[in-house]
Amino acid sequence: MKVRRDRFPTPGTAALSMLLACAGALCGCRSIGGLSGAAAGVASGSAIGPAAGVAIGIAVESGVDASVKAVRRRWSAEDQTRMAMMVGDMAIGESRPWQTRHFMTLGDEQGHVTLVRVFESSLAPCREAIFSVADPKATQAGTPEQHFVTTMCKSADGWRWAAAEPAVGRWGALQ
Amino acid sequence: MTRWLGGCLLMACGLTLGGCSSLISETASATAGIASGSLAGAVTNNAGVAAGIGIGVQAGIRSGVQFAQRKIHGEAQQQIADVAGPLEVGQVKNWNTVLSVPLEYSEAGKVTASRVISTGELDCKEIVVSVERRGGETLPVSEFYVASVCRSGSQWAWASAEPATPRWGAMQ
Repeated sequence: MKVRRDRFPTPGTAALSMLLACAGALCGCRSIGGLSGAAAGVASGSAIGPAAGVAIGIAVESGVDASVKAVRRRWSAEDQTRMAMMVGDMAIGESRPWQTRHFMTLGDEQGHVTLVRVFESSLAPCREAIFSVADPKATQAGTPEQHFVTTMCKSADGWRWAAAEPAVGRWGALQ
Repeated sequence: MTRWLGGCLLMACGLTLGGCSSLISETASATAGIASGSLAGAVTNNAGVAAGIGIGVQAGIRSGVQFAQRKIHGEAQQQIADVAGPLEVGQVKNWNTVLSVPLEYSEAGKVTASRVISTGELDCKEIVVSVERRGGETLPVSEFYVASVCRSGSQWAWASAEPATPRWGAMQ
């Protein structure tokens, strides 16, 4: 990724770490918190001593990790709501293309979503949909698309993604 | 540097309104890591040792917090499953969570069974859960979630499986 240095006329080490963090967040690289923490730790450690370096490194790592997660979560929430609203408009058996578009095409996805079941619970109307995710590489290789099942329910705000979290015993590596 | 760090944490706080569990775990582990790193820095001049202690403590605290979060959330799921399990399709009951450690907000709402998935040996139901109150405050708009519960022996338990790994995205 090209970095436009002219926007940062005096890039100190901190700014550089931040740049690294942003670049990593964009690529969806999970180790970016650790990398930027390490960069900040090395930079400040050599300037103001090892203990401060460790402290700053750890703080930067945690801050970047939490921020990257938060951004990705917000993106997912928007994507989920967009698909839920689309499914809310559909008739059973109907299939429509879906796609997600993010800043700098990061984590963009597309496929088709089909409404397979409509059910009225005593609390809210809900729907079950099957969506496919088309991976350009897989399509080229002739691999069939993967399909996933999910549920949506209608709240006062409109249709929303309603798949609940897995049972704690199934969290495993998710946490 | 300090100002930048503050900004970084602020950014994290601002963005994490929707899901603060990772922030709790990050903040707790980072604080412990920093504290022990500084402490180690005071007793040893060896930067490697100080860093090792700081990072080790950070990792330990993080997994401790995650363990506690699993325990607390498991309690919450169990309390909903206890109410939801015996329901007939269409029947509605109130639920509320009472947590032994306030690591997440206590919640309350209604639950109904929307479908019997299977009976007999494999006794499972699909449930629709509404969340109407969180942390003692009524939500402006109720949230709805669909989950499954299965009976093991005499007790009902949350049975929704984890998402397929390609759908983990921001969760991990």
